[in-house]
Order: sequence, then C-alpha cells, then structure tokens
Amino acid sequence: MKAPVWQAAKARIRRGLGTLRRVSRGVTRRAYARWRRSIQLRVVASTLAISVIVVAVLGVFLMQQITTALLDAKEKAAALQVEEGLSVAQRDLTGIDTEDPTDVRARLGTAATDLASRSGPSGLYQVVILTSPSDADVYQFGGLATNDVQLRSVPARLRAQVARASSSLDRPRTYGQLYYNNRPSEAGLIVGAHLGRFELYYLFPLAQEQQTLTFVQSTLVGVGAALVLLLAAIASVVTRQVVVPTRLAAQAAERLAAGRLEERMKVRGEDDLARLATSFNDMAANLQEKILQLEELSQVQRQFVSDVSHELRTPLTTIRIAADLLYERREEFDPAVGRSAELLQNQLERFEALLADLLEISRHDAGAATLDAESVDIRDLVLRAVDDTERLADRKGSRVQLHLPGEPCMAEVDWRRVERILRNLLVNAVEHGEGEEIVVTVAADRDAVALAVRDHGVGLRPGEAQMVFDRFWRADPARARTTGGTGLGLSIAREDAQLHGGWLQAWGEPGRGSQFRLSLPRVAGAELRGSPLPLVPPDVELSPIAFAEIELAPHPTGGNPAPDAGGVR
Amino acid sequence: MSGRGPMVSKRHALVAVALGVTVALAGCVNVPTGGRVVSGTAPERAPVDDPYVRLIPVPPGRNWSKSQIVQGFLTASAAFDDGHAVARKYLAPKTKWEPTNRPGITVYDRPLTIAELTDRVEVTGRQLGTISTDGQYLAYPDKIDEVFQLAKDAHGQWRITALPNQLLTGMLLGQRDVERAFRTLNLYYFAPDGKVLVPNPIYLPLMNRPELPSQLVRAALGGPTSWLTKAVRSDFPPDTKLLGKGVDVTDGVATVNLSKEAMGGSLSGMSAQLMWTLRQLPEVTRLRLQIDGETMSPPGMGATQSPSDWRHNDADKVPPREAGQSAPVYLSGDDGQFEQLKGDLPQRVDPSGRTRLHRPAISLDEKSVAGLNESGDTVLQGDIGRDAPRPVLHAPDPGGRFIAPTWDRSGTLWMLENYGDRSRLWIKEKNKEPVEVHEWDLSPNHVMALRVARDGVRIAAIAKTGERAQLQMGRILWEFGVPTVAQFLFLGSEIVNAKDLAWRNADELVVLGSTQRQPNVVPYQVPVSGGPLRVIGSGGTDMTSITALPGSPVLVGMRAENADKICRQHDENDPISEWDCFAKGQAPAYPG
Repeated sequence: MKAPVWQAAKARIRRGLGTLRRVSRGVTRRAYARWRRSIQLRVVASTLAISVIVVAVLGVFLMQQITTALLDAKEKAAALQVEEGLSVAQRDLTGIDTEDPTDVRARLGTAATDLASRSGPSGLYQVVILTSPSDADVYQFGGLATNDVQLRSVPARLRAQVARASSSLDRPRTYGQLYYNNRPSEAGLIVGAHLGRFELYYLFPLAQEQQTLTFVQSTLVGVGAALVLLLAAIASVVTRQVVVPTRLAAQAAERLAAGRLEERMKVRGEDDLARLATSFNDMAANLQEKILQLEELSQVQRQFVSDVSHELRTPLTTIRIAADLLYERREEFDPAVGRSAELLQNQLERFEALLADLLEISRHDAGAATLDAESVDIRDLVLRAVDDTERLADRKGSRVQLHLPGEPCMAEVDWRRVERILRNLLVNAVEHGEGEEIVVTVAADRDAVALAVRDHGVGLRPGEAQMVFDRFWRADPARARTTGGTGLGLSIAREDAQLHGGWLQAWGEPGRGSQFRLSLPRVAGAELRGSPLPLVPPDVELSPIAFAEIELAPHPTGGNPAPDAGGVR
Repeated sequence: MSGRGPMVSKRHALVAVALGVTVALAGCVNVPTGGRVVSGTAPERAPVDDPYVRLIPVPPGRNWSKSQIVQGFLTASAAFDDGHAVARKYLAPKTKWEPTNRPGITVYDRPLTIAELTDRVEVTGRQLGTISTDGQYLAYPDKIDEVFQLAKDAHGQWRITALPNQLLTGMLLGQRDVERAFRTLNLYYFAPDGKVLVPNPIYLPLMNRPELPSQLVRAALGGPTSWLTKAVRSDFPPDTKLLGKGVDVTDGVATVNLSKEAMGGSLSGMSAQLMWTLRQLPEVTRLRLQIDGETMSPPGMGATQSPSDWRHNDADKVPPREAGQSAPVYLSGDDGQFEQLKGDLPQRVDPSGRTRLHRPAISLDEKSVAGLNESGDTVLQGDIGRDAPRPVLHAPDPGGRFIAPTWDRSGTLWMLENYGDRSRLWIKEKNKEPVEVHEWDLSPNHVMALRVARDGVRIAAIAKTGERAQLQMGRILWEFGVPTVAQFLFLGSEIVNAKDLAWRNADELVVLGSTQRQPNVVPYQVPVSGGPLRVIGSGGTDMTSITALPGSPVLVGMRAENADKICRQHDENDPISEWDCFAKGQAPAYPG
C-alpha cells in the first residue's frame, strides 16, 4: 500500500530534481555565455568583487580604529572618575572604626551612596565596595553594591589582581559582562582599586559605546554598500563608453565581410576609438577599391576571352573549309601528306570544340547563360546520352550499365544542358574507365532527382575530387588525350548544374574508381536540400579517406551548408 | 594587450577613488569649535530613580559563634535580593521565617547588644519605630529585647532554630539599613468630599525596580495605611485584584488590568487614583485602565489617560489668575492694620484704618479672613473688603491665648487656644457657632502652630514636648459631623525647635525652626513622606512667621533692624538664594 505511494513520490521528486537541474543548468549556461560574450559584464563583476574586498578591508580597519579610540577615551575618563571617587570615599571613611561592623556598614553605605549619586540617574557607572573575603567573619556582610548590579559582575580575575596589587596606586581594570537583577546584562569596563581595607570597584556600562559602534557600523556598511554599487555603476558607464564603439566596429566589420563594401564607421572625436574607426574606414576603402579593380580586370579578361573566341571563329571557318577540302583529297596525296590532312582535320575538330567550350564558359562567366527549363523525364535524357556515347564506349571496351527507376523521373530542367552534363560525365567515365564497366544510376525523391556515373578506373587521389572541376585540369599531365576532351567539360558541367541550383560532386579513391553525382531540384529555382543518391557508391565500404573526401567536397551552391550528400550517413 | 592596459589602470583608479573617499570622509570628522547657542532644559529627575545602595550579604562562615550567626542573619536580612536566600542560610532548615514582599520592620537606631547564652542569643537595643506591613512608618521609641534560639547542625555549625515572635514575618533593621533599602512613595486616596486626592506615603522595600509599578498598584488596591484609614476614601471596591503579570509599561503607557470586582467602582475615581499613584514613576506618562482584560475609559476620555486629565483632583490647584497677577498676600501692618500687598507695597484693605487684625489667615476661596486681636485672646472673622472682622470666639480661660487660625477647604475655621501647658481646639463651620473639638490628641501639649492641609484631611502642628517644639502631622476624621484630630506622627525629627509652619504643597511643608547643627531659626523644606530636610535660602535672622502657596514664592516674616519685614527669596528657583526683604509688615499670609 505504502510502496507505490513512496515510489510515486520518489519519481515526482526525481522529476522535480531533474527539472530543477535542467533549469539551473540552463541558467548557468546562459550566464556563462553572457559572461563570455560581454566585456562589460566581466569588468563590472570584477570591479564589484574587488571593491567589495577593498571596502570590507577598509571597513574592518576603520571599525577597529574607532573601537580602539572610543574605548581608550572611556578608559581615560574612567580612570579620572575612579580617582575622584576614591578621594570622596576616603573622606567619607575618615575615622572609621574598622572593628565595628555597624559603623563599617553605615560608613561604606554613605560612601557608596555618595559615589552613586555622582553617577547620576542615567547610571554612568555602578559602584561596588567589597570587604575582603577574610573579613567576612568580622563584618558579616560581603559589601555594598549600587542600584541593581550583581556581585558576579566583578570578575574573580580582577578581584585577584586587586588583592595582589602591591601599591595603592594600582588600578587594575578589565572588560567584562555586567549583570543586573531583572535587567539584561551588558558589556562593561570594570576598574578596581584599594580603599583602605576594602576594595572599590567602578563598573562602567559600555551600552553607549556599543550603541555608537553599532551606529557607526551600520553607517559604514551602508556607505560601503553604496560605494560598491557606485563603483560598479561607474565601471559599467566607463566600460560602456569603450564597448559600444567596439560593438559598432564589430558590426561594421561583419557587414563588410558580408560584402557590403560601402559600409563605414562613424568617426567621432580624436580619441583611440576615433583612430580605430578611421583606420577601419581606410581599410574598407582600400578593400573596396582593390575588389573593384579586380572585378574590372576579370571583366576585361572575360571579355577578352569571349572576343578572342569570336574573332577566331571567322578564320577558323575558312581554315575548316580548306581543311575539309584537303581531307577529302587525302587519298590523292602521298601517304605522309594524307596523314597530315587527317591530323589537321582531327585537331581542327578539337579546336572547334575547344572554341565552343570557351564561348560557353565565357557565357557562364559573363552571367549570360540562361536556363531554358521545361519538364522532362531524366530517364530519356540518360538514354539519349548513353546512345550518343555508346560508340566511344565500345571502342574503349567499356560496357555501360543502367540502373533506372521504373516510373518517370520528371524534373524541370534545361534538357540541353543536362544532356551536355551527362555526355560530359559519360565521356569522362569512358575515358578514365580503363575499359571497365560503367554504371549509370538514376534516382528521385519528392524534391530532387539525382544521377550518378560510376567508373572503375584509376580513381582519384585525395584532394582531386575538387580539382577535377577546375578548368584545364589533368589528372596526369603526361597522359595523352585520346578522346576529344577539351579540359573544360567538367567545368561547364558544373556551371550548368549550378545554373539549375543543383550540385555536381565527385568521389574517387585510387584504384577503386570514381563516381560523379548530379543532383537537381525537381522544380526549377527550388532550393536543393539533399540528394536521393549517395555520393559514395554503396559497394565501397566507408573508409576514413572517403569520408574525408566528402568533407572536402565543396558546397555546391553558394553559402548553403552541405547537406552531407544525402544518404551517405 | 591593448585591451588590458586601460582596464588595469581603471581598476587602480577605482581603488584610488575608494581610498580617497574614505580618507576624505575621515578627514571631515571633527568636533565643532563654534556654532550657535542651543537652549536646553535640565532633565527631569524622579526621586524614585535616585541611585540606591544594596547590601551584599555573605553566607555564614565556618565555625562562626552564636553571636556572629545572629549578627550575620540580621545583616543579611537587610538584603532583599533573591527572596532572602542568603539570610535563610543562617536558619536551621525547619525554622519558620516568612518575610513577605512588604515585611514588618522594627527599626533600631544604635548598635544592638548581642549577648550569648547557652543555646540562645539575646539581642537588646533601642527601637525607633516600626514599619507595618502596609508600609506605614510609626515612630514609636521602645526597648528591643529579643531572643534567638540556636542549635548546632549536623556539621557542628550553629544555626538559628527559632526566631522571636516579632520577627517571624519581618525583620530587625538599623535606621541606615532602612534608609538604604526602602523608598517612600505615595498612594493617593480621595478626601471625604471626593474631590481632591490625599497622598498616603508608604515605605516600599527596594526589591525590583521593574516590578515597582505593580507593587505600587497592589499597595493602592490594598487601601490606605492604618494612619489614614477611614479618613480617606478609596474608589476601589474591596477585593479588587491586579490581574495578569502586573502592570505592563510599554512606551510610557501603563496598562493596569483589574479584576471584575472593580466594575463596582467609579471609573473616574479609580483612574484618578491610579494615575496619580503611577505618575510618580518617570516611565509612566499615560494610563490604560482595564477591567478583566477589557479597556475601560472614564466618561469623556480616550483609551489612555494622562496625568493632566486628573489635574482637577489636585488639592494644590490654585484658582487661575490673569497673566502677570500673583497670588494675593495679606499681612498685618503697623498697629495691626490689615493690609494687602499691591505690587510690592502694603496697602490698607480698609482705607479708614479701623480694621485691625493680627496673624491674619485667609480662606481658600479668598473671601474671608480671620485673625486675632492684639492680646490674642479673641478670634476675629470677617469678609474681606466688606466689613470689619467681628469677634467670633473669646478664650474661655482667662490665660487662654489663641494662635493663628487656619481654614480648611470647606470653609471651616480651625482655632487653637493654649492655656497653661495645654491646648484646646475649636472649629467654626460656615454659618455656625464655634464648637470645641473634643477628640484632640495634642490637648496635653502647648501648640505653637497649626495648619490644615489643603486637602482638609491632614493637619500639621508644632507641639511642645518638654523643651523641644516638634513638628507633627495628624489626620482629621469626620464622623457624624464631628471631627477627630488624632494619629500624630513626628516629622522632620531633626528640627528641635520649630516655630511656624505652612503647607507648601501636598507633599511638602515649610517649617521655621532650628536643628542641633544649625541653631539659627531658618526655613526648612520638610517632605511629609520623611525624606531629608533642605534649608531654603540663606541669610536672614529672627524669622517669626512663614507662609507658602503652590507656585508662589515662600514668604517669611522677619525682624530685621528693629522693624518687621516681609521677605522672599531673591530667586525662588535657587534653593540657596538670599532672603530679600521688600516690604514692611508681619505675619504674611497666602490664602489657605
């Protein structure tokens, strides 16, 4: 009966504790984050901490000084009071018959009354006159005390000291507790002296001093607290003066980094911060100038390439006509010349292709490439491209294997460009496939279509997966170009993919072949979030190197985070 | 690096600022050496809070003799702390001794003689008086002869096994011990007319200052002391008790919670009595009266009352006068002309000069005057300014001589006739014939002065006993319209030769007299509660008469440079200020 209740309670407690821990952890984390981020907070906190210590030390020191001064004054005043009292008491006791208890009692009573009446109604001090313990047999009384002070207020140590005192000028004194009948005890200063056969004690209550000290202490605490807070506020204000411009500078730098080259800081005054702003602005201006220059330069270069390509076309046409003529007549020439005509024809074709590619890429560079999107079935494009390259593959002894989905893979794409990409990839695979099998895979999901071209050639060395897309890059510069690759095919393919908002990525490993994957959004202009196909072929077990390659893979589109080549994980 | 430099220096700066502020503050502390003059008044001092001295008792020592044990016991019983715990150590465990909170005290004046007998100790001495358990001190010289039984206890130490009967509930204390261990305070009761309050001084042992308000209220509930019983009236119904832990005094408000018996009493009367009784304590400024826990307020008053609410019960209240006008002073001038002081000049009341009056006495309502003829064998009485005083009483005895008559608050005239060594007291009530007061305690004495107090209950007299003329105070008890004047107590016993007296206020008499230390006749201020005397003024010789009124300077008649003069103190607020004679005349008299 009890156990479940207990269990439930325990569970609830655990839950509560868990929540508490979570909340506190959250708070701590937020505070820590705040602490790490804000200079102002750190400065204010350390100022607070240090000033608390300083003020506390100062306060304790001051309190001690005041206490000492106060008690010193009290002791001096007390000593004078006792002297005066002693002379009065001695006068009262002149001619006392120390053998007669009644007379002793009466005289001591008079003396005590005299001394007490000097104390006034406010009770400046209390007086205790004691007979020495050995005289109790004679007098049958211990002594006299004024008002309601109790005998135990005179500490035994002081009595012993007074009893030991050799000279009548000794005034032993001590601090102690004064006890009263029906009244709370209080701290006091007790001064003793010899009064003939008797002992005279003055008991000075220190209530006034205590009150003063309490007042001073509370004042000090208040002032100290105010001072600490004030210092913190000052630190906050001062830091703010430094932090705010710094923050503004940081914001300006961030905006500059984001490409807003016209961003400048406001310059106010002539201080350090103004110098910082000035140099920041100078830097930004220089940067802007340089970037504009470079942009202009590259613009000029692109224009130049484009112009050269165009200019080369006209003579090339003429050369082409002449070359065609020569080629047709090659049978009539002697074999060496005929061979030259064939060579000329071949290289002219390459030249034309190169020129076409150059024009295409310069169009991309100039931003003149446009997307002529329409809905097509990717499978058709694949089949057409494979048809086109089949001859070449046969020649190389490669067999192209297709893995196509059963249903149509519709996507809004510029089919000419996609076909060109495909062709490029296939040619590339055939060229580097070493006559091994080439696998083309197509896949689609809700948002994207992807196709991958896998070869089993030499593969790519680490780092090369990125470089393959560079213009005129060669895996092995010594290797002859057996096919008509211009060195721009993959670059153009990549530009085309990017024009679609898609990705073109490569994977490769030495000796295990390579794979190129093209991922495209189904709808033109949509953002690509992942690919239906893995970048690394599924037949390759994931190795650290391969993984590293993937990590190195560039973000296909601008600043979008790499979606880790969907499915690899 | 560039960020740290300014930060460090800033922190230094802050510390420097903190130091600087502290040093600056410390530097500001200075005792002022100038400034404007601030007026102040002397703090009020209540006699209740005058310092007192307590005896510290010691328990019996080893092998003390029988007389030491008895002496030690007597001494230790003068210490009231802890319920006489130390004194009890002198007693054998079964010895009966029950001193109450207000014990009966036998007061002795000179050291006791202690004689050891086999198993008892005889203590002999001279008794001065007693303090009864109701706090009344009675001077009653007698012989002390008490016997203490002693026995040895198991440790062979002597202990008291039986106390003399008189000490079973009280103790034997020396005069000095009483002065040290007791304080006198007044209880207030109503005079028979129910209008004014009469102080009833009692002796309370100094035990516990915070308990004093409760002690006082309990005493007040217990009724007047034997001296005043029946002469005054208490508005507390019998058996009224103080409930709870006693009187609670918080922020000056004393809360008195009475038992429900008090329902039967008059709220105003009880409040007035309590307020007057408690206002002697400086810590009480207001009173809250509760009956059975419920706050009661007298008609027309709030929950708490202040002393001024009960000002009208003050017997010393003088009729209000216009600003700048002082109380009227009458005197007898040249040839017994009845004169009044106008400004500082005596002027005849009856311009025709036919009104002759010696030793004038003015009634409290300031309308009637009484006095003596030149030989003093006839009392004259008349209305001031209307007709010449006519004789109302002739001394029946041929040698009979009257002294100055005195009025009480109801307008009754009290006349005293000395014949031979004896005296006779007469009264003349308003519109009635004079009658002799038969219950007159001082009839065997020659009386030199007689004054009824303003409350009409107490009467002060100077009576000759042997060679000494002593000050005494008695009380007037009216029964069936007939007064009994009795219960005379000695006051100011240091004054050996008193000449004249007057009531300064309800608590103090002024007395012309001499003491053993001061043979000159000078005025003394004598508290009726039995406190110490104080000389008034300095200088002056051959003073013959005195008069006083609350709130007015004391006037004395003095014979200086062969002329009778009226004198007052140069500065009435300074007790030792010189006597300043400003007018001719004798026997000055204020009303009353």
